[in-house]
Amino acid sequence: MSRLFTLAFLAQSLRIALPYLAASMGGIWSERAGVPNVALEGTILVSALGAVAGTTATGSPWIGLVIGLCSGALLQAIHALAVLRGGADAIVSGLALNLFAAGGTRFLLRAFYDSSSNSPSIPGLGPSASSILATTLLDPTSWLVVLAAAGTTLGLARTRFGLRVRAVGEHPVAAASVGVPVLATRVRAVVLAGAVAGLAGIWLAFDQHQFSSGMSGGRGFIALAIVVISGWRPLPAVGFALLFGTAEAAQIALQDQKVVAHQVIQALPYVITLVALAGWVRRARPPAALGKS
Amino acid sequence: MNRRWSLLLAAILSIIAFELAVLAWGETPWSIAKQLFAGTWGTRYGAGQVLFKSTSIALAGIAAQIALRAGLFHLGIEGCIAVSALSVGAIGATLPQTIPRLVAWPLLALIAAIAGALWTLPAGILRARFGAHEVISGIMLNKIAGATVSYALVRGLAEKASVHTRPLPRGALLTRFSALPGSAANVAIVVAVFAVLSVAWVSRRTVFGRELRSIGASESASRATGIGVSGRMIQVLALSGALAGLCALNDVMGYKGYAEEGLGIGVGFTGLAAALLAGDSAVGLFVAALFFGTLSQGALSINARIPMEIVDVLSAIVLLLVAVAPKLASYFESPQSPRVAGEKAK
Repeated sequence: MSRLFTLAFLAQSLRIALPYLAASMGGIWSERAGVPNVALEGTILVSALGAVAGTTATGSPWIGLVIGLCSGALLQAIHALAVLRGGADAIVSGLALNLFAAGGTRFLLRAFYDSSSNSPSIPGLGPSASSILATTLLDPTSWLVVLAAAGTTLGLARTRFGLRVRAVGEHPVAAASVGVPVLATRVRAVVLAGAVAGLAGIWLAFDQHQFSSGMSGGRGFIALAIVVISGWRPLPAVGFALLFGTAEAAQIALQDQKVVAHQVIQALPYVITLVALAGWVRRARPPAALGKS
Repeated sequence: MNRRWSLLLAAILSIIAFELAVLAWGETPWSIAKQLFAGTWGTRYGAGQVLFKSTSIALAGIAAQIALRAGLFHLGIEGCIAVSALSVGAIGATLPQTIPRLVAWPLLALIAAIAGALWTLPAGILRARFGAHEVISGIMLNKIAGATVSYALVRGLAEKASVHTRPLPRGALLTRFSALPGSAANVAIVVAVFAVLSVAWVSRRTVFGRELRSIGASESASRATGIGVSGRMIQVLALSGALAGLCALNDVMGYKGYAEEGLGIGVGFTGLAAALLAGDSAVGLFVAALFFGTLSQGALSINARIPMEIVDVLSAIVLLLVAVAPKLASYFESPQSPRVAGEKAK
């Protein structure tokens, strides 16, 4: 068990938690505005490819970062357009966008790099140090994720925009009656969600120094689980992201000892979500107008 | 009428999107479309493969359709297929080698249906008792099903030194069609057709079906008129899971001959897409299942010239356009009711 009390273990937990953190913060922005969002998985994928394509095209990871953010925001802008203007069901739109992202990124992977599995390798933003702790802590992208989490927590609770987002998510008619532009606020929140969730994809791309087919690997769904378990609140979401990161890191560290099967850890977030849905936390209540127009 | 127009509009826009994507790749759309057709309906093998894939899609589609009738998005279909496939594979492998078909087929079909139905119970109970959205619990149950199947195979259900269960006895294998040589098309297609037609009959001609529609239209009104909404929700999700479970007949008994990880991945989603395309109609569901079956088989035949993922992109666009089509189509109609500002707060 001593393997669990090392700095490397801490770093590994953090590494796994960061993409969950970013994606769940994105999910919170969208869902608190009343727009259900199952397209986090697709958002991670497109922004990861955006970041890699931007980097290989220009040679600058910083430009890659910006393009990655824009790709995520763009995918979610389609979601906003389809749901808020087109009258599409948010679940249908989200599922379609996940399929669109999965197919589209593989299509572009072949178009850009003539490969069906992965892109050429790219430099990330962080230094290439030997320890995981150093690469994780010195990577500016990691700090952007932390910033996004802090920004979501404070922004949702303390800013005018955050208040408006919560208002249109709880009671759009009341919000409209006091002059809050409901549609515009929702569109902005969803596009912002795309950029924030996109950070998860960018982080993955820079961490692995490449784009590989289907690299989101279900993280968008874990993030969705985190959003639900945390009761659509940012701070508990941070806690659950760290918890799931630590659990996975522990499973990797203790792999050869076969303490727990990796499938058990894999299923853990989903099982907790089911329990949470049964009213485990009374306050875990969705925004009142979630999915209603 | 409106629905027909909006589907036509969605079809036209989808074709335009397809042509643009093909042109961007530097190929000619017409010749790609011809090759896609030649690789599917052009040969007996291709046609058989389309029928094989459409069988699963139709079963998943009817599972999604009956739940949609009660206003429920059953996203857990994929998990039901995975668990049913494993149950059929694991239990089927223990049957004696000499078991006659007339015993093995119905027995395993029953097991498939029961396994699928049981797997929906958490979602059904959570929805009925706690009002938890079935979409979230469905997604979670899919993920849990994947992990469970993987765990069960690793811990003993798999044949030694392999990743799948022991092969089924001969009597448990479904007959394939000799007219479609080499393809996996099998008699499960009869089960699919029968399932779609009988569910259509149930939902139109029985009290159960009538109550489902009522719940789909308004949950609170149904409750007020004395319909046991909670019970009906659990029942319809279980029925949906049972129908989805029948996919195991096609995949395990008709095609593989054993169960493994990843069976049914993507089929649940395609089935939902087919159900959304088909709306209320049983005939529409057959057409939609054949459409998606053709696309997924055709993808393989065009892959040498254009990445086959274009088909996924196309399916996604079709689905998105069908979802927004009613609103789009309404812009083309003559404006009859002027919109009142703030009439519908958005």
